[in-house]
Amino acid sequence: MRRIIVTLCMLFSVFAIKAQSPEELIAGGNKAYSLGQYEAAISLYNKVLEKGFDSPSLYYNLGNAFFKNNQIPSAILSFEKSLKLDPNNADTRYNLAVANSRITDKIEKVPELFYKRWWSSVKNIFALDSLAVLMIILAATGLILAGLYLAARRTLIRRIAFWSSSSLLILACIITGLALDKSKQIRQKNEGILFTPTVTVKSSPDPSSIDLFVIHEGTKVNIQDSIGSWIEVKIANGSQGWIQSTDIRKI
Amino acid sequence: MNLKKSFSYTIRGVIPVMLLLMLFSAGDGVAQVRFEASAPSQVGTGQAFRISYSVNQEAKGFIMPEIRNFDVLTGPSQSSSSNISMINGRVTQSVSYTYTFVLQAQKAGTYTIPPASITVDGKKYQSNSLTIQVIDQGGGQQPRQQPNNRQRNTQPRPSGSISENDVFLRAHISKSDLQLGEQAIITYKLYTRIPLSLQGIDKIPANTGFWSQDLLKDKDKYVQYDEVIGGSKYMVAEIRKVAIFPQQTGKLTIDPLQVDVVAQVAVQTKSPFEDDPFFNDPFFKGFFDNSPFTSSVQNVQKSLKSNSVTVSVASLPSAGRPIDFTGAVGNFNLKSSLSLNHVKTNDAITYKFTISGNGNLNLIEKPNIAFPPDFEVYDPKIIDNINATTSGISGSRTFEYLLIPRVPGDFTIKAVPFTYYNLSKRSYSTLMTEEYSVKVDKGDASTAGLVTTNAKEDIKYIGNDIRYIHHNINGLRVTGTSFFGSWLFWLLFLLPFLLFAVFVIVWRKQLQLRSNTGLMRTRKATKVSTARLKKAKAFLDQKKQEPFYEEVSQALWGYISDKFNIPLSELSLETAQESLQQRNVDETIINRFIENLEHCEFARFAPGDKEAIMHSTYDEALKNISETEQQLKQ
Repeated sequence: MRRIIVTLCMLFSVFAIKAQSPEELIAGGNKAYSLGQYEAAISLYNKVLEKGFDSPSLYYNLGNAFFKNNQIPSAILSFEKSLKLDPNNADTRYNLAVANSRITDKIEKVPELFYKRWWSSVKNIFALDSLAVLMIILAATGLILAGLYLAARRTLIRRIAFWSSSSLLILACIITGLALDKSKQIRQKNEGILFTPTVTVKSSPDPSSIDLFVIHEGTKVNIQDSIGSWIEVKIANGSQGWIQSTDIRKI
Repeated sequence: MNLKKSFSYTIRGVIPVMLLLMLFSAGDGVAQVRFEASAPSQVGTGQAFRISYSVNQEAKGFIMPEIRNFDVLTGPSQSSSSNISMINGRVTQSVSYTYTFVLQAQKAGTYTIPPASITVDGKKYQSNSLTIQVIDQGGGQQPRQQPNNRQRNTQPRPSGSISENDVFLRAHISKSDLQLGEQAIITYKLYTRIPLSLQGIDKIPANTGFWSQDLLKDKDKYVQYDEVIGGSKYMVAEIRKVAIFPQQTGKLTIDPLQVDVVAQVAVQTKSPFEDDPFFNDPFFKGFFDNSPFTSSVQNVQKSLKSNSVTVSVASLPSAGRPIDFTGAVGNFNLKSSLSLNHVKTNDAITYKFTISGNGNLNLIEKPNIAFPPDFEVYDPKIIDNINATTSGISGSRTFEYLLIPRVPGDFTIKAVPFTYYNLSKRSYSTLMTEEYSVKVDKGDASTAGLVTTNAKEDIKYIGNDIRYIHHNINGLRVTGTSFFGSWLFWLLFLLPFLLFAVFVIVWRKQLQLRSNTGLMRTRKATKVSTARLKKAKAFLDQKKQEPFYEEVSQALWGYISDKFNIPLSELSLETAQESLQQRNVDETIINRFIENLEHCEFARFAPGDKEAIMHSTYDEALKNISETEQQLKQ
């Protein structure tokens, strides 16, 4: 009996009391997760977020804990947040797909126009900060080569320097465009996850307007417009309508 | 005895039909679930007949239909068959499950039996409903006596002068407060004070809501003893004993049992055997009732009805009910065994899972055992060793699995839980089997037989779960901040542009500066050399040979250096000649110029030249510079 109490105290101290720094909180959360205490893990991970820190892996772990605790919409929200920061993480993509297979709505995705698809797939290859580093490297090398073009006397070197410098600088411009677009997308928060179990989508921002269709918790929506407490959302198959903004949580 | 005959008749009739049914369902492939009910369309009153429900897939949760207007004589009894066929090395397996009831019609008319339902792979299926026409066969109330060949039944009999106290039938239940699935035993006792013979059981209670099993095997030998009730001594015979397992909760009533007896009532004369204890036995006395010795005894037929028994059935506690509980109630032991734990591929192993004890053994479903996916597993053979003794049902049920490992390696057959409701503890208990490890070696190719092993297999996915958490969290940052857009980013991004701009500006300036000085020197080249030559002229007049030659050579070299923008350090006769040739200066002038230079250099270090040569050298230098200048201007 006494041993049990001691063990309990130890566990408690590991999970709750001692953990102060974000790293310690995360380690505590990971331990709670590995012991199957998902609710404790969720509260510890959330504490890190409350302290004003985040990271793709933290959102990923939080999503896992929510999933194991059978809170599928919260899990999807966390995975989406993680992907927003690190769009190319295979684990997160896989877990999001698993979580999405547990929700009620099965929505056929409307294929996008090919150039939009390319643009967004290129945009998703890199995280914003990677794009930023890439911008710096490309611009710096491009300019060094431009300098070489000006300074060199031999024609061959000048020719090589000219072409490589101009192509690098053009690439830098494209990357800058991607980075600006991405940073705008991250700041805008125009996507959300439905948290109300069942939501009837209306044809206009008015409770007495016609019911268009019904969607369920866990479904991802794109926010198109907002008036007062109403938002206009678009789901993956292209259907659009108005719902209350309290029904969703933004990614 | 008649009863027994018709029973065995029905059962004998059932088996071939069932086999036929199974064969049909087995041949039909696996894809479609067929759940069918079959019964004769026409039966006579009192005739026992069979209805069966067969399904061609592994099924669970058979829910029997509500059977009204018929008496259920036996059932449901479950049988299963599996058919494994190997064609060109491909093993196909088909199974069929059959649930059979034996019914007896009560009254003439047309009746419908509603559909039964069953669960296959989590889906519910319903059978067809049955319509049965019952024709009156004139047997009236006592259909069971029809095949009776004894004469005495057809004789008219005087109505009995037997009182209720002389003969009566009572039903006793071992326990009237039951839990779902708990076993109870009903004993029907015949009490008599007069000689009596039992004609047969007329009406067997339907026992709706129970699963029941007859415990008396030998129907000819009844347990007999004496009992004193109300001061009178009675002969008691236990004529029927049934174990019942309630399948529904609530108050359940068991209908009375009805039997026909023939009692002997002494009329006037005393039987000579009256005092013989052997013949005094009421149950044996009946045997002699047609003999001439007992002519003074009258046979009186009487129909007896037992009391009905009410039991209350409580549901099992829902608190703490394990997920894998499937309805086993009683006191059980679990045993498992594995025939071999070191085999070669394609050798067969048998795994036995045995549950023994007392309780509703017949209702225990096959366990859910997770064998290694690389094992080929066949449907288990169910071996029942169930004893229906007068103390209830006990024994064992064994599930025997045939396993064939197809791939070499080390495998584990995990411990299998068996959960039941423990009646002695009044709580749920879980027993675990042992865990077995099996080592499978690669077998000889020749023993592989029909199986061709070069066919590649798809990976078998056993479960679906999310991936594990990340243990190293890197890139923890203050929310909302990113490198993109930070001052450091802009500094690092714009710095190269700034440096490039500075570089371009500096480069331009220097280029301009360099071209300017070059131009000046070219312009001044003649002036400088003329000034030098003037100085040389002064030395010539003073006849100072050494400084003279120095000035002349300085004038010539300086001219080349300034004119062609060549630093003095790089200047030599060759470079001079080269640069003059590049500017298309006349070859003779170049030669003279070089000769002139060579002479000056030579004379500087070897003094003693004549004045005339000094004069000609001076003239020559003047002439060379002016002519070169002229040539360059062209």
